[in-house]
Amino acid sequence: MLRAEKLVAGYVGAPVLHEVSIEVRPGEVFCLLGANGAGKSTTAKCLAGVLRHAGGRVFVDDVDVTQATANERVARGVSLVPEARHLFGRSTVRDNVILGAWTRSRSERAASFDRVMETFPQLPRLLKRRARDLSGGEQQMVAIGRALMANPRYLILDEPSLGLAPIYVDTILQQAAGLARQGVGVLLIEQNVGKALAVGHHAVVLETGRVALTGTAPEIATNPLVVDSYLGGIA
Amino acid sequence: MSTFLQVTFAGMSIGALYMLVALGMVVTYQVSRVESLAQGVYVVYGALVFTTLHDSRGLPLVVAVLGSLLACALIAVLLYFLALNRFAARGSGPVIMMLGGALLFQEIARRFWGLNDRGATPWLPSDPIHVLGATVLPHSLLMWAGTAVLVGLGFVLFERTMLGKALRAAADDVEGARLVGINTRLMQFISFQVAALYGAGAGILLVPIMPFGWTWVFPLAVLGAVGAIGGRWEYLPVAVISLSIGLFASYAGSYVSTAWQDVYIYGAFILILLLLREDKRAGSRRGWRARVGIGAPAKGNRAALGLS
Repeated sequence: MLRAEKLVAGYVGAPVLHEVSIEVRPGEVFCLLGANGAGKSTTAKCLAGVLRHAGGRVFVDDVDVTQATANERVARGVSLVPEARHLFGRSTVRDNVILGAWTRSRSERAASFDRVMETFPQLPRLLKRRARDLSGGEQQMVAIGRALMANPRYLILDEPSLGLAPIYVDTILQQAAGLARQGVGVLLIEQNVGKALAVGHHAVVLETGRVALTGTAPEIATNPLVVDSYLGGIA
Repeated sequence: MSTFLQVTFAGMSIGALYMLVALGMVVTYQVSRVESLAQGVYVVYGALVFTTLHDSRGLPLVVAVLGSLLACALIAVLLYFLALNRFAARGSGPVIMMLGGALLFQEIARRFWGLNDRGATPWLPSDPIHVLGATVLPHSLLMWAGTAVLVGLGFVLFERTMLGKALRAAADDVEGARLVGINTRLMQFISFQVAALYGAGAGILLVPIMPFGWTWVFPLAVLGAVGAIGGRWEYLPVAVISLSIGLFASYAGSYVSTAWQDVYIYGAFILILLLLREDKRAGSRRGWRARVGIGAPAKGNRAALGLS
């Protein structure tokens, strides 16, 4: 289980998270919802070790990784696909994907590479292109493929549908659900609340850095607050 | 013809030196976002430590080479911690620290080895080889071959190995590199070591045919920067530009005036800068400084150290 306990974090002079606790179990899609500025991406960064948090603790399968750096957390099975993707723009798609398995052995790398190519059948024809020359949807697939190369037990997807055509949104959310069926714990941060809850098992709604609602995805999907605020009044 | 060939040979040797200095700066800059003004230190210490161990102490060639490489590796460790510590890694801090480091090691070299340049006794036969009426020393051939090997190894490292891909990734996107598990600080450390290897290699290869001393520290850094900026901090373009500068300096020194040799090089440097600036006016929206990263690496350095 990927667990955050009473996370307190923020940026200089601007606290963002106030004692946020969440639990992502293996094999489930956990939706982290909320308005812009609610602290969703900050939570993701704290879990991945990209951002130091001022308080609280993070556990991966009951091991305290609070002091572990981002690269150490990757080795422990936590991968983040950030909102900005952070691909290596000047490198080819092949190099981007291969580097996702930096922490793994050569044989594991080859096996993961084949699996990622099967998961994203569009990728093989893009392998020789530079990442910066791809469309947004293609870049998102590369970013997720790169994260999967580390064979994560917990995958954090931060706004994977941002700026994508609807056809890519559905594909990527279905991929997230498929990964969960394979046993990966997926933390899904998604602006498209309805579609996220449709593939999710559990969800948390953040408001101004605090947990406002928590429950199963169906419970959250029918909660009047969520219906009014995020689903346009359509239950 | 023979004179032209002779001058070309001389230019190739000095161009090989400039190439190794410039490529060391490129590797450091590309991975660590630090303009390494101390690159000349590696060349001078590589040459002088080798001379001391081999000629003064009488140690075997291999031991002297290894000792020289080790000395430069240790200097690189010191410069790394000097430039990329959490207090220096903001704004122009790393550049200033590298400048201070270069001054420090320059002064140490002056006090330890004295005011005069020192050369090493050639360990290859000193009889020149005749080529189409021109002559070339075996050590010059070794210098060219050694440079080709070092440049080729660097190219293979960056283009064909996982470590090289990781080094490039750390240069391309620090946060992205950390997200795939790459220890970006280790990559920066390695970049300093690669730069030290280039510099030390240049010093060891060249010192039997060209004496070095403390006065070389800063001119070498400036000449390296000319090549690095001229080649826009890209590996192969920088190699070509640096070799061209060496040839240009040799032709200018032989056919015009030796006394004005440096003036031509720096003049060419100013011309390159003006052309790049003109390029900016002609259409680039971001300008060459932004494109090569000068003036904007402060955030990169801090992010690489996990401070942002």
